[in-house]
Amino acid sequence: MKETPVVFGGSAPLVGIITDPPESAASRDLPTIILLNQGLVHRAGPNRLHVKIARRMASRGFVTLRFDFSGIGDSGISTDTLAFEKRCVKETSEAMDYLRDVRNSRRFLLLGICLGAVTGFDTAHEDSRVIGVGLINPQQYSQVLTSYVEARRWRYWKSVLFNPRRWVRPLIGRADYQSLWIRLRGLFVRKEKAESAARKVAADFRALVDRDIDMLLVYSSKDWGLEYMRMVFGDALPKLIASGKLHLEFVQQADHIFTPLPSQQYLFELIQGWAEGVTSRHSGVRQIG
Amino acid sequence: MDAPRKSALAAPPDAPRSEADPRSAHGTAHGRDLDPFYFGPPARPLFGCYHPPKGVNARDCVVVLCYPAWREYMRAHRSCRQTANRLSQAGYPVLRFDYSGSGDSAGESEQGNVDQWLDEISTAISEAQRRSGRSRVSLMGLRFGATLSALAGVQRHDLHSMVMWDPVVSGAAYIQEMTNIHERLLGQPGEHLDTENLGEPVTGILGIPFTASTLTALRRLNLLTIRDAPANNILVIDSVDSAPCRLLAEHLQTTGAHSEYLHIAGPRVWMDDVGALVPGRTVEALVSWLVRVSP
Repeated sequence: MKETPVVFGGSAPLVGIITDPPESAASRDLPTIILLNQGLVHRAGPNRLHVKIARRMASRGFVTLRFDFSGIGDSGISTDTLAFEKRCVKETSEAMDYLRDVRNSRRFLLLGICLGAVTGFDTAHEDSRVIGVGLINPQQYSQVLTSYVEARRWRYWKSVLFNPRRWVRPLIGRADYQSLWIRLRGLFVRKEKAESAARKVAADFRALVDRDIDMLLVYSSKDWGLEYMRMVFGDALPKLIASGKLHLEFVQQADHIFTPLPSQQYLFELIQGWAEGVTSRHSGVRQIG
Repeated sequence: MDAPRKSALAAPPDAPRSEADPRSAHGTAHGRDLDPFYFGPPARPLFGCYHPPKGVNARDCVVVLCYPAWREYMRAHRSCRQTANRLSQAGYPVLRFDYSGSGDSAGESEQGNVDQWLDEISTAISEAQRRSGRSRVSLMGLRFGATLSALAGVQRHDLHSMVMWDPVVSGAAYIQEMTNIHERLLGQPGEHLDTENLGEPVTGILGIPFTASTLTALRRLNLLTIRDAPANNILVIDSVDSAPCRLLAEHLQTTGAHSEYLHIAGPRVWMDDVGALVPGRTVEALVSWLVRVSP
């Protein structure tokens, strides 16, 4: 296995690390994996998950890139004026262009946690080189929907109202008023509006299924993405799973960023199994670079 | 970019070991504000980012930035990067690097130990001197990075200045603090793992596997027991007005160092609930101090 720092990108210098498999495991038939930032956490990933995933997948023959979007981690500031979400999609496509040039990569699996998952999801809609997306604890597909679900999370309000530490925080100047304001604002989002946003997200999932894109959807038992998922899919989930393109997995005892070590190990096994499954399903179907 | 200097330490032209996109406007070291690269032993390479000095006031001192460790590394990375940027703008070349078993450096998370990290700080210092052409070194450490900086300075006896930003003064108290946060976040104690290949028990705390020997070594650390000066000039920055930091600054005076204590109320950038804040006042204060003592 070999790791190489790289710098690429059009509107900003984007910094990443390519992990190449050892020669004994290298295969030209495998898609390339790109790991996308979890929000503002830099490319090593929360709890170093991206590094561990990259090295594990390299040992299985996959070339992997983890990189920072502009303004995050070691990457520079972008000179364009795109909104953050659109810029992330554009920069993910730039990463694919770069890997095409330096590693001859033609097909890609995108993996991300939280916001990284949503970027992967959005990129899969825009770029036909993506054959699979791993969505780990995704929850920010739509601002309206996020506000609505966040405001109605009983677990959040319980942690605020029945935790003495939370009552002390305003007194010592450490209250998270922004977080509280976001939740309160969400209480005023109408149910019909949230349901409409949820239907749009569900339709986006169906569109990827129709395009033969493989999706791995992973939820941690202690993450509120589950509540989000119920809102988005409603009764449509069994049908999507029956398509064979959406693989839904739950990880017990795991939080949003897989802090317990056994949950990390389980996540790695899920990702490896899914990536190898996607590769075998797509073998011979798509042109191999 | 670097001001030209005649020195045996000057970096050879092939020093950077990163691939750059030839089509990109940022494709050379001259167009970027940092160079990512691997250095150190080929069997266990360390990942570093080198920030060349900017502007006309190129300083005669290179800064090596020592990150916090473990979960705090993840949270504080943004502040460290911005601090390096600011130091670079003030004319200092800066190298920040990941300890082995952390970030993008080689190694498994459970394999690191204090002696090894101290060796790696020395490796990073040599690399920073080679790249920058400077022989004078300042170490800047945040949290456990400050603790390691102090220990490295005591071993070396050659550091001109040191910034200790919210240092971990007592290893035992630090482990207890991490354990408490783990239990509060997850509602359960750190998990004990079966790891026959390591030959000793491993405990998972806040997503990181700690071997029993590493935990024992960490619990023994106490900066209030060091006898030699870690550097000639030391600034202890304290964001939360804590007794251990004040005591440390006083203790460092007894080692012969010229130490200063500065309390600047600011966000604890290494904590989960702080988000993406970068403490501008703290960064400005440490840059001003460095300009004063290591111009």
